[in-house]
Amino acid sequence: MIEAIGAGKAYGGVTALHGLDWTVREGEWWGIIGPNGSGKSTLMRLLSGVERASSGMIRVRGRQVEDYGRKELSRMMAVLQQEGMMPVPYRVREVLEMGRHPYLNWLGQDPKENVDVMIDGILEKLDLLDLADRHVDELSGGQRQRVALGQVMAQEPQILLLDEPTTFLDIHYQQQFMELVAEWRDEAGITVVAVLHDLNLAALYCDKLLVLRDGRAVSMGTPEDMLTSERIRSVYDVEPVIVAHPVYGAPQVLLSKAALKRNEEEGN
Amino acid sequence: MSKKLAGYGGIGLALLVLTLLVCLGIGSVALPVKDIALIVLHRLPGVSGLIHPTWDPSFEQIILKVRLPRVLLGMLVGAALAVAGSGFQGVLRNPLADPFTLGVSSGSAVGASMLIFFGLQYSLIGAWTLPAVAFVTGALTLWGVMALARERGKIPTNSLILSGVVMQSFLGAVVSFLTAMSKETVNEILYWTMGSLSLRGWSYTAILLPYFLAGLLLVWSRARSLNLLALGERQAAHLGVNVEGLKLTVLLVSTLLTAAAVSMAGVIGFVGLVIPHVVRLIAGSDYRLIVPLSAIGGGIFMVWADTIARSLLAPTEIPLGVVTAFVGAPFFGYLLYRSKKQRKGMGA
Repeated sequence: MIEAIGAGKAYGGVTALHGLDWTVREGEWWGIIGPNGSGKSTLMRLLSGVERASSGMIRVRGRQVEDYGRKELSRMMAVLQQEGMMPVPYRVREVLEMGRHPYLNWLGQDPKENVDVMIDGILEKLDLLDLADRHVDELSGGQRQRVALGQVMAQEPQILLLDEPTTFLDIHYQQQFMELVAEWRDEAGITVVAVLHDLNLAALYCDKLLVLRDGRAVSMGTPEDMLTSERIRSVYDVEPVIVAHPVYGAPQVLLSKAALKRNEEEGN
Repeated sequence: MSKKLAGYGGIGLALLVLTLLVCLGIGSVALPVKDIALIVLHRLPGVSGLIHPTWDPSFEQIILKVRLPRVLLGMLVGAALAVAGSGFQGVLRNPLADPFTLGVSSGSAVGASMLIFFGLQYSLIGAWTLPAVAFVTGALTLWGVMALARERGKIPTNSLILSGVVMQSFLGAVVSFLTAMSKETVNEILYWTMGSLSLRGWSYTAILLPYFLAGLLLVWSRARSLNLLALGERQAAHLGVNVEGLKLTVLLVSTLLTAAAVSMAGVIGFVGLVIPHVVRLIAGSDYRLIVPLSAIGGGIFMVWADTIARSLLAPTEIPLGVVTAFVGAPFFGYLLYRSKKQRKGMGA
């Protein structure tokens, strides 16, 4: 579905991403993890085609991502950004309808029938029916994040890119958000690539993890293989304790209190 | 959407027609609205046979030769500036953006003041020399501003605004210098830069009309994409908008509309800033409504402003730019006050 072939990106003289080789198969849910400045967001910008790789290439369905027209690419791939939905003075329903933009012809008509029914369905699924006629700039951060998700659902993509989608949400909305994406993937079989800060959420929901550090891929594989104490220690420079989730068995990362102090003593 | 457009558009057009009829009657000779309507209808193809001239023939001369071309030119200049303003505000996503933000008016003013300073305003192609040169220097300014702001094939909005401000102050200094050096007692440069619609004939209106219509349709056709741009440039790109292409097209068209208006009528401020805002307060944030309604609103506003400019202290004419600022600024203040009160009234 998506292939990175020696994909790299440099800004000025600084290399943000070194030649990355990576393959995402159809229907997989990948998590991209790594510390700040490790190249996660750069990789997302290359995948979504808003920036060009300075070396190597990104291919989506066998074609280089730059070769797609913006509309053509948007029919296949939707992106949910970290900052989510801006507080714009449009109504929730209007913003969801904007998700249909890649499909509209030059007269503004949607080839799909019953778009209203589809939008209603999304509103209902995301608990937004009561807010449908409210302006987005009157909503809370969590509500706006659901509107953002509604918009990408209306876009009906086959690939969903998520850039730290849960950063500004409390744990209730974090879990709700991940559940909604998981449910959507089960129903529509979409491929998901998500940059995640929360390693525990990543372990619970992702099939595979790509670990980045200093713009290089440290490793990639299943959460069980990726989230080991040595790897977390070397990548994040913390002292972790890894336990198995008591219900699902997925690895969960706990931090030990002394980590920072010991590092200072060692002179790091 | 289309229902809203028909509603607001219908009311707007009715107000526009009423404005034209009333303002045509105001002047040194007051003319009754009924006669004006009949005189204008009489000239329309297909209707002329049904109306028998019952009016004073001198009325017809005043209307057709003097007032109608001026009023229509004012309408077009106002509409062009307002559409350009809505385009600039949409692309720059900055509520303080207006048609002059990128220095186009200063560029036009430099061309015009050079000509006036050296006494060349009728040199090359007669009365058309000044508008033509002002248009070219205005458009050149945009090119300079874009070249200054361009960065790896993209034009970041912030650099664009900054280089516009830089260009504007530099060119403004050139105009001030020429104004100060000019030895005439009645300073023609100063007069030109403050805007006027007097003594322009039908030819100006005839040239501006198709030009304006093309510009309006181009900006209007990008309205849906401008709505998406409000979500942020990257989000718009993810929804299938070719962001750089959109910015370039709308900026270019808006600038050319501005340059045309300025080169014909001088620098008339406030229309391009206030009208799109007023429309937004009334009809909401959808550019599919803002663009066409701004055209109508700009036309209405400018016709009234020019009527005040030519009749309030007649026979002295007040510079048009002064009138638009006098009327526009307090009205804008009132609207801001009202929307602030409304928001408070809603509570939470």
